[in-house]
Amino acid sequence: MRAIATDRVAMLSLVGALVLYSFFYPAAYQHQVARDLPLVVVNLDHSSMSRELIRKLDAVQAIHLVGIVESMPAARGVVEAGEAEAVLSIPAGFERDILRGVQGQLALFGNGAVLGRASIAMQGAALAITAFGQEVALQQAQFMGIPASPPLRLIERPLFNTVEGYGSSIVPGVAALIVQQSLLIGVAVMAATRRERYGKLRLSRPGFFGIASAFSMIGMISLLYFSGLIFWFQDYPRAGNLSGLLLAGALFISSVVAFALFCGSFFRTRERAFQLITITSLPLFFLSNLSWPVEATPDILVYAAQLLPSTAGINAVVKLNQMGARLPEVFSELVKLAVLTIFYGSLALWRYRPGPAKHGSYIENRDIETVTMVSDED
Amino acid sequence: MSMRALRASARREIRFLRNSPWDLALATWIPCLLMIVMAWLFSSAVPRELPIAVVDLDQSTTSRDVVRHLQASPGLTVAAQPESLQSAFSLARALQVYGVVLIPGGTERDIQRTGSASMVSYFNASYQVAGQAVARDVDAAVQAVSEKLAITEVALSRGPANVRAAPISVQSTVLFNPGRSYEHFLLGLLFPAILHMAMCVAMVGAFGRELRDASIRHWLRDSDDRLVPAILGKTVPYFLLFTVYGVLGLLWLIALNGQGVAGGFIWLVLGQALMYLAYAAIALLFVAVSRNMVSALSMAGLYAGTSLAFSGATFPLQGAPWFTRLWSDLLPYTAYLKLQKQQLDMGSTLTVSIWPLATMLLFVLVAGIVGVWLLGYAARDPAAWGRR
Repeated sequence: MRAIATDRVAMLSLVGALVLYSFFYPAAYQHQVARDLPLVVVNLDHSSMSRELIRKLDAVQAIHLVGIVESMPAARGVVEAGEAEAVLSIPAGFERDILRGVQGQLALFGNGAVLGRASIAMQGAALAITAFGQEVALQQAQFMGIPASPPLRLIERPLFNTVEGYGSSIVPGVAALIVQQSLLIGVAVMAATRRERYGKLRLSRPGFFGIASAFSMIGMISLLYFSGLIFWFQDYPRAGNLSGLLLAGALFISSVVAFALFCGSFFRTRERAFQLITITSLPLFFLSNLSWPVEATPDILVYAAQLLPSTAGINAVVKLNQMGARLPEVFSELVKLAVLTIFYGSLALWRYRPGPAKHGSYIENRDIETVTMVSDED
Repeated sequence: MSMRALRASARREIRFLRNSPWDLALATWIPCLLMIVMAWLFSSAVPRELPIAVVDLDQSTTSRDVVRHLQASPGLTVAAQPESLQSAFSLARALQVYGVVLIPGGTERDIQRTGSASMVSYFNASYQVAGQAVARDVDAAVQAVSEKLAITEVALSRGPANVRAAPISVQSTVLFNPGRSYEHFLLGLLFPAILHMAMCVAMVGAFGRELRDASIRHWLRDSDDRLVPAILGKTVPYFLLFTVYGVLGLLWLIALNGQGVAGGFIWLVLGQALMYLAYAAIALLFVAVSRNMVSALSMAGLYAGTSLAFSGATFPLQGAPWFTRLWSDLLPYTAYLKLQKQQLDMGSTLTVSIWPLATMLLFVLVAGIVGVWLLGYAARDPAAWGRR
């Protein structure tokens, strides 16, 4: 423990980076629900009704009306210049059609080059058009009778992440990944430093478990810091199943520490870990299937991703903390994490096995915290 | 500019990479492997057959018709039909389904009597891509049933005069990516994301190593003591490698799309090259400022490692706090994505695309000049060497 506390690098990556990331990362999604997406209108109708529709559009929070143009090519130009994400086209004769009782046809175009943004803008526009449609229906009704409402109405209800915030859907998964990656860096730096200084990894059993429990403690604190304090600060859905989260968190952290001890044993220089962790984080996140559904993932990748603690860990943490899952509903993740702990734990024990010659002297050192690890510092 | 010094520095770096398999890996097979894994991951382009549960409390001809339509939707598969909403939610929490459709008892009766009935579609908003896809497809399937019912049931029972279409119809079209392909969209973000991160950490390694190992004087002496050619020479091997990977990634995107490049391919190549140069310059700046390889790598991790989140490509930045928008503008990656969107998908004119290109050039110049200047100091100051 002291070895970790006194090594500036290990300390920086474990504590400093964690706190920094915990505020920095959610900042990207702090506004949670997107608004003011730029939309341009092609108004070929010039009627009072079309102007009324445009006023309705501008009032919707998701949309910011950037302009009204006279032709579709002009609107396309606005989108290509990056000044609008969507186009609403109001054809000539729109008002006339509606007053005649014919359907008024509108066309909505979204910029598919940026899928997420386009759909938010289009949903916002659709919302305004529906509201407008209801008013128009009343006008029509004055001379044509009340229209039939659709036989089946669908009410949509989001589950778990009820504000449908983007940050609250992404950051909890990323948080678990950040905890894993910083533990990986910490352990790899520790192992590589031992190798640089002593040329070998050998650790006594008590020394091994001492290091493992020190890292586990740090990992557990950081995980709870994220799932409790930071999610509270950002007001994300949380604490659905606290006791379950503690159990899954403990299993996740132990599997990560075992994984980190095993992987870390291959590092020969301290700096390498930082490089590898930086470039692998993004792929690891997508492999966890939080944002890309597992049903759409090739089978071999699904199996391969199970070898990473983050895959089961991210899903277990999100399910327990955000979705309030009960233990049987995360059973498979918990089993996977336990299996990974045993698997990487035994591989790591073998990698750090004490040499036969030195074995005796290590056994005498009962106080692992002071002997095995402080020796790191000389 | 001394070409001799530049060549000597480049040769020295290549010699080093040959003898250091892990540094070579970081600039060669590791980024390529990550790109291939991501291309493979999204190879189904659009999620299909996502599982949902239907709680049919009505058990009528109409409700069975709804279930048939849901099952027939290519995006959905009805994985379970539990008896109660509670057990359906349990399936949702276990992630065995992404959505739950509730058909309340008396639905058919209500349609026959009053002409209208309500159903509820619950979707998982924690797993957004899957949840929203499910919600969209459930909506489409239910609307299809509704239209059919409007013609048969309502017309029969209440007379054809009551069947009148809604006053307004909206036809939605997605421009520039007609298939709504997530594969094209996400790979377009991830290829340059992986590559610029790898470029940045590889360059921090390349510059930082000379300070850490106190070999900076050797390196400069090998390059005729000329700082700028030495730095450029060191960058050249990485720059060429990553530009080639970037162009291969672009070709993969174009092949997937099957519609060619909307704008000019040459501008995309130039954008790729400028982006890697910008990240090399920023890596130089980090090393020269921190004079410590680990600190510089931590900076690179924070700066380049989070750029996808701050680029505004996955989630719009309109309405974001000023810090978020400012940070986004301080990333060459944001500028490159703008250019890629304009030239690959939309076919914008060059007068529009000149801006992201100029932004990236500005990063190269500002970070590069300050970096060179500060590294010059570090090279003359032995106290800056060997720090870990």
